[in-house]
Amino acid sequence: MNLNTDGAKPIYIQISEWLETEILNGNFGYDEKVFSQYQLAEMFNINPATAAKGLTKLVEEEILYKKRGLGMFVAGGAREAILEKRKDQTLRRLVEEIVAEAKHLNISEEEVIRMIREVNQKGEGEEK
Amino acid sequence: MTTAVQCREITKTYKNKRALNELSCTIEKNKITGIIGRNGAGKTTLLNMIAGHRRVTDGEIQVFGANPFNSLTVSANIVFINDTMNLPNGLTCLEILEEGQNFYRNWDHELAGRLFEYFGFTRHDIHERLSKGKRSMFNAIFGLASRSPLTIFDEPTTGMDEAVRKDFYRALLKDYIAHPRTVLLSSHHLSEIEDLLEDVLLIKNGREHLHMPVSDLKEYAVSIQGSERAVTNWLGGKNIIARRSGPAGRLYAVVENTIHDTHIKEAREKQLDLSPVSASDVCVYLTDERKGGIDDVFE
Amino acid sequence: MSLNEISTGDVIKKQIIYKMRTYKGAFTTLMFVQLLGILFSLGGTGSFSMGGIYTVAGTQYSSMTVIIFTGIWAFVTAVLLTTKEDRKHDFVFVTNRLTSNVSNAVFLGIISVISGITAILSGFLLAVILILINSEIILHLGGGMYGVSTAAAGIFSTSLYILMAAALGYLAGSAVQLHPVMKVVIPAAFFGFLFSGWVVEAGPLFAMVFLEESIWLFLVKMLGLAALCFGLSAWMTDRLEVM
Repeated sequence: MNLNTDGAKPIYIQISEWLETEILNGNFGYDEKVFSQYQLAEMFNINPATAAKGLTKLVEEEILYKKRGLGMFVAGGAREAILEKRKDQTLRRLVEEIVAEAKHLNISEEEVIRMIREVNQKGEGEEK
Repeated sequence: MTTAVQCREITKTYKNKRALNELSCTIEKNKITGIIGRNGAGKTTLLNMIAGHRRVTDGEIQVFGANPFNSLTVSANIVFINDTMNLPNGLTCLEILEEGQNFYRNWDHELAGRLFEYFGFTRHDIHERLSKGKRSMFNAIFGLASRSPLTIFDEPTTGMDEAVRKDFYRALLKDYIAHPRTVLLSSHHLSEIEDLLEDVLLIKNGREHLHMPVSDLKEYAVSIQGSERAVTNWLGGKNIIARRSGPAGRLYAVVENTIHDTHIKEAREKQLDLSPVSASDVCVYLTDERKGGIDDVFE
Repeated sequence: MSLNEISTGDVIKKQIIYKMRTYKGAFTTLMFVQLLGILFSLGGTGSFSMGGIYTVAGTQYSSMTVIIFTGIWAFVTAVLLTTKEDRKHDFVFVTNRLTSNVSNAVFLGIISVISGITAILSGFLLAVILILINSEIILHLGGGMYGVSTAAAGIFSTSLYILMAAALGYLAGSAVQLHPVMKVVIPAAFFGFLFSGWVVEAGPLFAMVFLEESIWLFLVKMLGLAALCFGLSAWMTDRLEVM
């Protein structure tokens, strides 16, 4: 994966989001050890302290837990926590942006919902 | 002891010019710290004093707890790579590396040899006859291989092409991960090195202007853009770092990032474009001496 | 990463080895200078004639020219060691001012002995060349060429003279490092002294110092003077910045 280094999103947040996605995709199961700060630093060509900050963020959110001297492990319920968080934060922010843009363009709530439905159906159609 | 370098109000005067003006800073051990500043801000002077090559006019400087000037212990524990570095022409580049091995206790000659080969040096190369970029690369190899507890790179990539720069930064990172040590890295291009850094020390007019983790620097400021009136209203009471008038009554401003959700909401409602400012742009704005910007010249 | 402790003696040793390697070019120059000296000596340095019933006329040959040339070479080499560029080279590696100055002094001592040996040996080379180009020549060997012990004494004293030249060069070069105005002051003082009457008045003093009968006293005097020059240089440059 390449990091977006143009400054829009801090690197450590990109690191924690990447790890979350890895967990969501099932690449790391519960109680499984994740990459160390040094492995992450090498993988993404970043300072180990930055990588550590990304890991610490996940520890604080109880997605990872720390075993002294052994490393970071995936906490029980990590998947659910990530899903909850993404819904709460990422999705909500996106919806807020949609609503604001719709207001700006003078588009009614019904029409926005219809558009969402359309996109959804199109997506399902493609999947079949 | 967690401090590698400690400066207390150091001043350096050349003839009648003040290169450093009561600069104080503390650089922690085993971190990669970027020394950033405009040309003439005092970066090179500071690094020269840390390396013990220059004497302070006033104030106190300590490297690993000792005054670096004329200190053999400090000299044995640091390597100072810079783009005006002259290496003896009586030796080939390979022989210089061999001398490095004699002098530096942590020297990794195997690494030196592999880098020497990778970057296309030959055993007959003489430092003076290398191209600018290759000379810089050779100096960088010397600095990496010495594995000094304090490794100073002052503008190490001058003249290197893009690919070589990337290789060098990658080599520095990998070797740092394997053998953590204190690294000072100065560059005009913060954007090029910021991912590598842990801390940034920003020097302005011979003083420490800002010293913080690079991740904090990235969140240090935000920019706001929109119609002059709306932006001016939004700015009320905030700490403005820079302000530029654009064409057609537009205003662009950079403020310290003390904003809350209400500010974000307000900006959105007023059709203002609120976005983060990259660390390197923050440094540019913070160290800007001129009033306005280049656009004002053309007014 | 823990700090490395390093002893002054250790660094001086390493600096000397480094200097022997990096200034190997100086020995090439030395060879040229001494060959040039021999070439100049082939014409003879003086002639004599002794009269009685028969007149014996002859030419004096000596390696004095070679020794003088070598002295100049040592002086110049010492000055070059003190230049900005070369001082900077030391600081690429591990050093402080003291180890830099001491290793320079020892290095100059070593090259003085080496060049002293080759200067005396060049006297023999001169004799060989003279025989080769003129088979009818009658050579009467003098000064320092009689046997091993006199040759050794020749080498000994010549090396000390060369060391003296190097020490003076080092002192002059160090003074220039202190302030560029010395580039003018030193030559002016030298030639001023040379062409003023003082040189005549100071003559006996120089004779007392440099023309010493006792070889041990001579050694002590020369080493003392050289140490004084190096010490003064070290003292002058100890607070100097690396630029």
